[in-house]
Amino acid sequence: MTMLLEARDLTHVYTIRQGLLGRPAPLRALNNVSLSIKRGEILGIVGESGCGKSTLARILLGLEAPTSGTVLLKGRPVGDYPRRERALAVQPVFQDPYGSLNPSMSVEELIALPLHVHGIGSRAERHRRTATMADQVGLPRRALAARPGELSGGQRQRVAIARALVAGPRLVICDEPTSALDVSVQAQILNLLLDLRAEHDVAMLFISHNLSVIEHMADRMMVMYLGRVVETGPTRAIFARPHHPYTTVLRDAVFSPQDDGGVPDLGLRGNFPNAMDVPSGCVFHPRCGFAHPNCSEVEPMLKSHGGDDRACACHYPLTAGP
Amino acid sequence: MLLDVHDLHVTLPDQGRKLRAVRGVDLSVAAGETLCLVGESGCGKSMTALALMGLLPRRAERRAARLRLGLTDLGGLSDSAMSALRGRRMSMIFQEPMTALNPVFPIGDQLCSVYRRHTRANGAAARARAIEVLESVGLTNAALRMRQYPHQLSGGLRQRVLIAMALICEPELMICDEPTTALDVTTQAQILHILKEAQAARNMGMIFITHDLGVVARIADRVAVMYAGRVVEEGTREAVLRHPAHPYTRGLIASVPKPGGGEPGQTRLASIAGNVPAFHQEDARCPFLSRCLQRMDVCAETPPPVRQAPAGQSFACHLLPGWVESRAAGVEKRA
Repeated sequence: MTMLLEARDLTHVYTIRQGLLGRPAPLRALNNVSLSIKRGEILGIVGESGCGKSTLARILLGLEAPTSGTVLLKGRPVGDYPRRERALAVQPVFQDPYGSLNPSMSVEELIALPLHVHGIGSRAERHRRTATMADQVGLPRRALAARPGELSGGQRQRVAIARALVAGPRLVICDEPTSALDVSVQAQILNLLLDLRAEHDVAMLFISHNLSVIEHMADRMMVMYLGRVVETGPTRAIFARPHHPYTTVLRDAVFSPQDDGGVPDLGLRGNFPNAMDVPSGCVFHPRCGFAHPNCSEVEPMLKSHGGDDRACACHYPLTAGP
Repeated sequence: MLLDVHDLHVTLPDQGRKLRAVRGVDLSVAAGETLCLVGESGCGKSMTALALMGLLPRRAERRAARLRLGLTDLGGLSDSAMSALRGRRMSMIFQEPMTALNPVFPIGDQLCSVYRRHTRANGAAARARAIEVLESVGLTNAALRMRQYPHQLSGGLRQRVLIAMALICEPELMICDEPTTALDVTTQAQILHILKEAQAARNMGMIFITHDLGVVARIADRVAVMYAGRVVEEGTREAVLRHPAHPYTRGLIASVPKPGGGEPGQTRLASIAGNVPAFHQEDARCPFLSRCLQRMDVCAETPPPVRQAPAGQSFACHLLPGWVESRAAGVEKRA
């Protein structure tokens, strides 16, 4: 079966000038990142700021061309698709619904925009599809006449989701879609996304810094650190036993209301590295509690350590032990 | 009691009307204790904190039956007396450290100026104290860092500088308003560590405002759940998080994805429909009425009584505590 979306060896380099008179220097935002998403699947991507997850989203949306590597949509390079066809297949939902909705347009115009831009359907047809979509995302009909400024944060995110889905995309790229929302509203939006996935069989790339949200949403997941994939596999299996020390740290840093008092020591050394000056060998070694001498010399490749569809980039994966 | 607040009200001007942002809040914090204030945006947590600090917007009104820090009556203090006390006996840190730091001065100057404002220290003594307190919050090369500007620091380091600034005069009470919300999860854990250490070393009282119940579980001694300007449930961490009594608290806890809680991508979360209402008039009815799944006729007629739950916390609800517990047990058995 061909994958819905496949990305191979994506590398992206930004050129950054540090300070007014600084010399331009390369910043490797993505380094050999590969991924694949099946039809109707949710792939979770987790990592902290600077790990390259948003650059990845921009490349998959076609907003930016990678420095090297290929992105295949239904087996064909995305570059071969006319812009319109690609936009119809892949749609975004961003973190900040305040910033991504034109404040002067009505909710109905905003949701219908992709149909309008791509000339889909008659006026009556567009009106009908917009209203149906609004119902599906749980927006009351009277909200269709409102402007984004009159809506709550949760309602705005519903508008953004309706707009992303109205033209029937095969893949929605959600970049931190609930990070700006209260937990009760986050729960509503996560439920909505799962319902829409079940109903439309749409695949999702779900980006978050919150591992418990990824655990809740994603069938498979990828953990990123400094532009690299350090661990990937089925969500369930990774949570049961993370193989990469960084995944363990991320898991331990997510607190749940059921936990007991006391802030855990994550065993993380030093500070977050400068992305302009990445460590030698394994990029995680200066912070890793398990680092051996050779970790600073040889960069570990992403490879499988025991079948089951998993891979981990570590010389000493935590596959055995407690 | 270090901080003792009774019947605090805050009203804000809102397009010719008065928005009642805080409506009769009682709070207390003992030395060395952490009180977490939780609730959704718009529930009045930040306004409560600003009211305690005397930092409300200019046209806001504050009144309270009692507002004391130690032996000092904060309600009766003049603006200048309040500003002499702020930063010395009680201090506050905010969510976005960049907006709380002055971008055009090195952080060292900013730390020293806070210290010299409240003490008679000379420049050298202030500098020594600034370095000492920066080191205590885990900043390496503190003497060199003193010369750096806020934009040269990462978010986590900026928040440490802000904590150092709040601690420099050894306050009795520190108020933290979502100090880790804008930070990465691993940085959050480090900052929480530093705050708890600083607190233990000084036996400092702390009010920690957050919407993250996971953070509450890790740092709180007591928890006050706010809703629409009122405290609807208040008690020990154990009681409120393990045996929540108010339907709002139960709803908040249920909407957090549970680790190991069901098949990924297949499980629905409980959620609370609707939004926090805003109040412009006195309204004694239960503020949670419109969103409560367990509402009864009486909820729309009489104010909810404050009761004590079996686990010891107080909560404002018409539901009988025993009934809440037995019903919850029934639901869990059926599920």
